[in-house]
Amino acid sequence: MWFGAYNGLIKFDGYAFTSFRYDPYNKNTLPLNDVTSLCEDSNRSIWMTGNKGLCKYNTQTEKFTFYDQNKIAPTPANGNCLAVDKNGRVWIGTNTGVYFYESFSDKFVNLNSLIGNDSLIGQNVICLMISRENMLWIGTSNGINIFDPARKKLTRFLPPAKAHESLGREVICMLQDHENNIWISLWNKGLFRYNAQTKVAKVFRHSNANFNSLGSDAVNALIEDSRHRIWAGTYTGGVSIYRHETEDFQTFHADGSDKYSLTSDEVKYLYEDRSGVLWIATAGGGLNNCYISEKKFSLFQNYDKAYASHFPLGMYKDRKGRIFMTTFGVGVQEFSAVSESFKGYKIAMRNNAITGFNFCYGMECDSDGIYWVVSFDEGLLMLDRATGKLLPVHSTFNNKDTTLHNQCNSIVEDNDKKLWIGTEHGLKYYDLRTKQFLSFENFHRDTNHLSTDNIAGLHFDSDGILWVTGTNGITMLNTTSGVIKIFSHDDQNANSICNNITHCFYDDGQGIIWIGTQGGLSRFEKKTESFVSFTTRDGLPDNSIIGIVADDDCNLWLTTNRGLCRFTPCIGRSPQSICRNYDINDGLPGDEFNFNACVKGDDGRLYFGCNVGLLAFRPGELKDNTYIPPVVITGINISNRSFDSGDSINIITSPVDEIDHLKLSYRQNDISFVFAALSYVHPEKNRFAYMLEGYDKNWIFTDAAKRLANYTNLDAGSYTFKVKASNNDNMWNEVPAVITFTIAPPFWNTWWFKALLVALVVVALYAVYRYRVQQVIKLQTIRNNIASDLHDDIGSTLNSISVLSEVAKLQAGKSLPALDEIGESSRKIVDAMSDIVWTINPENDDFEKIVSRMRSFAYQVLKGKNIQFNFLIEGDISGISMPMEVRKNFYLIFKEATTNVVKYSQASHIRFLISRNESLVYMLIRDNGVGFNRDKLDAGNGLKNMQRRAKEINAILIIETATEEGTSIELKLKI
Amino acid sequence: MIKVALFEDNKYLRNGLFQLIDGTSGFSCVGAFSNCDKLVEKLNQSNPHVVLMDIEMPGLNGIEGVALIKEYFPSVKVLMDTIFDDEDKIFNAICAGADGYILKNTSPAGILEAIREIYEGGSAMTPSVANKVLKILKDKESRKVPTNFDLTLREKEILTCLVEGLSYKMTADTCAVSIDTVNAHVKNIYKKLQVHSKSEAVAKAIKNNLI
Repeated sequence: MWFGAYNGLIKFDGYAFTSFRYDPYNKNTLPLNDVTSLCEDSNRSIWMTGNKGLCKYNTQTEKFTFYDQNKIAPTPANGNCLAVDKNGRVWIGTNTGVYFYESFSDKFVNLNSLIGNDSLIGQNVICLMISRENMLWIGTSNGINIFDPARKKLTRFLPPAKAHESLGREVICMLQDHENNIWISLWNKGLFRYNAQTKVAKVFRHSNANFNSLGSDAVNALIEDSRHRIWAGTYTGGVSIYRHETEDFQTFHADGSDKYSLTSDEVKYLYEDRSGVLWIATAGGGLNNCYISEKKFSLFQNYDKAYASHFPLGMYKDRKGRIFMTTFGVGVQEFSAVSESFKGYKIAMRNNAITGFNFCYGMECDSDGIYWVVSFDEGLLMLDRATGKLLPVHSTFNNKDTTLHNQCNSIVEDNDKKLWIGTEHGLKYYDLRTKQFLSFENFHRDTNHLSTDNIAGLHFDSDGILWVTGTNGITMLNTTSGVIKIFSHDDQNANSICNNITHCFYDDGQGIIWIGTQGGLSRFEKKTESFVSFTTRDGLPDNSIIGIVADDDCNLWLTTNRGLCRFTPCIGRSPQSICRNYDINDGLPGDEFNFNACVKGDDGRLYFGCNVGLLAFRPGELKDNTYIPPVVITGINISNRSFDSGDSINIITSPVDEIDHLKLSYRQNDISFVFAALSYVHPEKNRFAYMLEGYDKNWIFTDAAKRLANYTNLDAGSYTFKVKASNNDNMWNEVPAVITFTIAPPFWNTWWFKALLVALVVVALYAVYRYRVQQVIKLQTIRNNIASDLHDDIGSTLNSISVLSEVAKLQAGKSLPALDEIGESSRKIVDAMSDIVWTINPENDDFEKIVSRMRSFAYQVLKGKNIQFNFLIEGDISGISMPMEVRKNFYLIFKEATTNVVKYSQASHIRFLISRNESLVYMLIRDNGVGFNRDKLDAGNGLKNMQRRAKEINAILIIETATEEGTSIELKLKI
Repeated sequence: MIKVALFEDNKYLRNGLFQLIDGTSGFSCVGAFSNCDKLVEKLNQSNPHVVLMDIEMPGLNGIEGVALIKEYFPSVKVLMDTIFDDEDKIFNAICAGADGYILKNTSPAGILEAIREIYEGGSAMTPSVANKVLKILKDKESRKVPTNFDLTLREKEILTCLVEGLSYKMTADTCAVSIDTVNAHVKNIYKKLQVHSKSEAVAKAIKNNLI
């Protein structure tokens, strides 16, 4: 809703007002003050007239465009009124004629340019109206012109002079109603109504003498609402509503003591919004609104004699359908549904003294048609309708008999011509035949209950059983047999009555009795004699149920101190009872009821006695508000700061309710949304349901007091926020307002960062691997370098020693043992070096190669010695790799053993066996030589060395030998 | 008188060997060279029966030298001389045409013996070399590469015996042939190997301007 006021433009969403004011330092604020008229064009821009000219506000870009006379001429600087015709053209009425806005040229064109030689009857245009035929009605200070945009013709509106001659010509406002009457407000001369077809004219003026006249002669605003009611807002006279049948007005004035009245009698403008709420702009009294509810509650009041209708103590309907109210102080009031008026019966006292007779608590009409009334401390009375008199039957006032004394609360007749009376001290009854009063205790001597209790109410159910309500739960009494059954509340028993203080009673005739208590509503099933209870948790407006009356649709209408409740018990498959509550906000005139003051009238209406009178309505005539409210998101708070368009960090670049999508960074992951439902009928009763898709599993319901959805610490991702709303009568708009937003992940969470990390890790791992490979290669290179260094040069030089020692022998001409030894030792060195070089070379890791070398060695060493040998290989020796240490020792053991055989054994045949069985390698060197005695022989370093080498490689060395039986050396190795 | 030319880059050893060979009766050292440069000239000059060739030498290495010698002086016997029994190198030398090899740390007597043997036509085949030959065969067969390197069944038999470490004599017994036959077969095997690899060595020598 947008309002133009003295200090600017105001926007309202049902809950909060946003002001747009003129700020001379800020270019993008409202450029003028005192907004006098508003209209919306077809481009969602709001036009306004003000003190400095004309201004247009684009609601989507949130920008003001100011039309200053100095800049775009001619500009209607003194704009008085605005109207938008059915073609979307904006018309402006000014002190100097009528203009219209030409959007494609962004210029204002004077109407005169369209009408040729014609001219307006008056140049000071006060009001404009677009009729249903799309004619522009121009109200000036000198009369009315009508412009036809289609034919570009200007005509004069001139009803017969006689009808209005005294009224003057200055037109304040105009209205075309649904019957094609034209209503015209003439300055201080009331209203003039004219129908061009029927030629009927009428003048309406204010009259102090006539309560039903127009509120004042100065009518500022005229409006016909969507229900064809005509409203007139007057200056100093409040708001008047035209009554069609009587052709007069119902006027509402400001009343300082009534908070639901107008705030000021100076009404400037009237407007009806889409939801049916009528807005009233006043001068000095702010803004009012008014909603005429579709719920037809009737209120009947008897103002006669001290508000007689206002204090009902009970209500009663006789067999003929007559409705009676027993009252607090004014006896019995009979209400006629036909005449809608009251007739009172009471006992007149001398000097108007207060008498207990007139405080009537209950009444009954017996089978003979006699009306009986019970009263406060005056006992039983008889009502004579004919004479209108209440006559005491038994009075304790000056009668010493105290059988019936104190406060009587209720009276009912049984089938046996007994009137049962519930009193403050027990149950009594009056036998109509014997005209005797008796207490219940006299009837049955063996029970105590009901003889001394404070009895509130008595009701006979459909089976003729008497039910007694009071403070002890509810008691069932068979008046014939005298059998009593008491039902009281038991905390341990969920099927007991919900509270011991019982107020009211209803038997539905189908075996179910409903009892209203202080603590809820209980449903009693006669067959099972058990209770099911309902409280505020089931939707009741209050737990204290004061009265029950059923309508024709099997709904129960419950009265409480917080209003009325239509209770629909669960029927058939529907598992839950439904409560529909009505209070003042629904148009209920009063919401305070009294015990049992309710009846169902024969005219289809339900009657309730309440604190402001007799309330009556037909259940079917309580229509709900069916307006489906638009839902808007009005605010977004990010990290607890509210954002709107134009914020410094540019998240929100359009008005909040226009935003579809937000892009947020990972730090902006606390977000909350404020929303509203644009239904102005009791907006505090609007309800909302919201859900964040991707986060909430279900809709979350909330009411107007908390129109906020708050989400904190959201993870990165895409989300959709939806909110839907209902109006005050639970009419839901199932199409939600939607905003989507994405929260970007922090850079450490994005895919590219993770990919980068992975890549880095891979690269790192690869680098480590390469480094290690490099190390190995380096090592290898070193080994190779060592090998090659040892090679040739050193070897050759060493070898030269061997050769030169031989040469020396030749040169010396004789054998020199020392030289032999030199030669031999040098050859040995080279041999050892050769082994080293071979061992280092990683190409010789292969077991096959080792065996090959062993074979070569055997061949070399045994070749010239005439020893035959077998070199046998068993098993698969391929694919085994031996680390350096192992192959070195393995080979050297073999070498040692073989050398020993050659040196000592004198054998003629050696058998070599190398076999492999899975992870076990076996070597055997067996000769057929002389053997040796192990004990005797000083083992010498040779054998010791072999043992050591075997130990080093965790192999088992077994030497078996015996004199003359050869030697066998076995080696077992695990690889 | 066996005329021996020797190629050895270590000066002490070269000196020693020269004195040894030359100082022993029945042998004469007609040339002691430190490298294979101008090999053909050197051989022309020295005109030996047997060449004692060190494998590892700067410039043209011994193996390439052998190939050249066999190309230009086919009647000259070449005995490879190596400090360490590097199987691959020995094998390559034999493929290049060497008639035999000895380890340098063989006793001087052994060295002289080997020279004599080779002069008399023997050709050494050790188990490891035989093994290698077999391996090459296996490789070629498995890869199904057509080759001019095919051994006859007999030759394969003999090879197998040699791989087992049987001496020539035992091989002859096992295969029911004479030792000479065994020798002849071994030579044939080598020839086949040499044909296979000699051309490469020659090509390399020409490329390096050593001829």
